[in-house]
This record gives sequence, C-alpha cells and structure tokens, in this order.
Amino acid sequence: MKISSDLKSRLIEAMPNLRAFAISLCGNADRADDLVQETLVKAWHKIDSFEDGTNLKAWLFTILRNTYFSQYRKGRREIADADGEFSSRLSVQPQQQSHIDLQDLSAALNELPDDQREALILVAAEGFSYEQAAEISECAVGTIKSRVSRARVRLAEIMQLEDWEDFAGDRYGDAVRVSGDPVTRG
Amino acid sequence: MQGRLAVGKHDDNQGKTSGNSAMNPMPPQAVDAVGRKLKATYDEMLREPIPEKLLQLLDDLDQTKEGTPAGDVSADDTRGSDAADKGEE
Repeated sequence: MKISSDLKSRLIEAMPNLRAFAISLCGNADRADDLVQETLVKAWHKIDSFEDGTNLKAWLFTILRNTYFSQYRKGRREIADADGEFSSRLSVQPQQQSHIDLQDLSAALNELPDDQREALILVAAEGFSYEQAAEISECAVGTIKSRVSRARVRLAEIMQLEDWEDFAGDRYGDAVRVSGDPVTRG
Repeated sequence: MQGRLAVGKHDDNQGKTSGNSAMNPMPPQAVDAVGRKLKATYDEMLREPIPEKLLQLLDDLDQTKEGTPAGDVSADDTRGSDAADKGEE
C-alpha cells in the first residue's frame, strides 16, 4: 500500500500528539505506544476514507480513541501508573516542587472517568474546539462541554484534596513520632 | 470545519454530580491553575522524541506490497497475503 509522501510526513507530524493523547488515555507509555502503532496501521490501510482537506489529526484521533475504547480501556485500571506516567515521561526533569505537582496531576487524571479525561485532554490540552472534540468522541457538543467542565472542576478538587491529605498526613505523622518513636526524629 | 453533530448517544455520565459536592465550590482561579498545569504538562509530552519503532512502522508499511496488511509490525518480515488482518474496523 502506497500513500503520498506528503501524507506520510503529515502522519509523522501527528505522532507526538497521538502519543500524548494515548498516554493520557492509557496511563501507561508502553500500552500507549502499542495503541499508537495500531492506530497508524489502521489509518494507513483505510487512508482512502480520509477526505483530503479535512483535519488529519482529528481523523487519526478518532481512530485512536475508538481503538482505545474497544480494546484498551479494560486493562487501564490494573496497569495505570498511579505515580504519574505524565511526569515520569518528561524528558526534561522539572524542578522539585513542580515535579511533585506533576505527579499529583497525573494521579488526579487517573481518577477521572474515561469520558471526562478524554474530553478534557482533547479540549484543554490538545486544543480542539468543542465541535471537533464532539466529532472525535462521536457525541453531542453539549455533552463534550459538560464533560470538560466537570473534568476541570473535578481535577481541581482532587488536587486540592490531595494537598489536604498530605497536610493531614504530616500532622498525623508528627503525632505518632512524638508519642511512639522518638528515635526517628533526627 | 463544520461537522455533523451526533446527538444524545453518550449520556452515560449525565447528571452525575461531582464526588466532592459537600466541599465549597472550587474557586475559578484554582480550576484555571490546574488547567494551565495540564496544558503545560501535555506540551512537554509533545516535545518528547518519537520512539524509533513508530517511525520505522511507517517505513515498513511503505514497503509492504499493495493490499498486504503489515500484521505484526514488530517482526521485520514481508509475509504474504496471509499476514494477520489486524483488527480493521
């Protein structure tokens, strides 16, 4: 099967986006790369159904998310890396404080329902319009809007909650040290 | 690009309230801050190098003969028409 070199280079251009979207959905880089691979194979073989002049990235994202929801979603919970695929994938190590933030973010993303996470990534991270995201996810624009809106708030809530739990955990830890184990205090 | 608007297919999570409804509503600044962090993190991921095997995949597909799906793309072979028809559609 041959496709034009122009189309091929546009596929290559879309790869970073496909990978980032796949990692966001899968929560695991190895599975994400498998998902991207499968997406590209499918896209290649049905490239005739792509209408030139339309948005190639959106077309590819549709294939990827359909593949994810039909084949990859099931294993997500067991495999997702709660420590933060997002942060551990970063090639440039962020400063310590923001590294912690990124781990929190990734863990928080993992807690979102699949459909909300998908909508949030498409719109807030990838920059698709609500209309494009609705086409990719094959649902109504209003549904995407409400998913994105709930996902934003939920994500902020989870991250705030984690801050609070860290704080509470520290206090509890102090109490335990004081009453039970003075040696641990340097 | 105007597109078709499928209506009302996915209403699985409609009406579901957020898990922390007892808490105070999130201040918009906090929601915005998390949104910016998400975008920044995602942009970092976009700057990562593409794994060689994904780039190689397109070259392999390019080499494949007409109408011969590259089933197992990790195997560097050129199998005949019985190559796995890998989950089309």
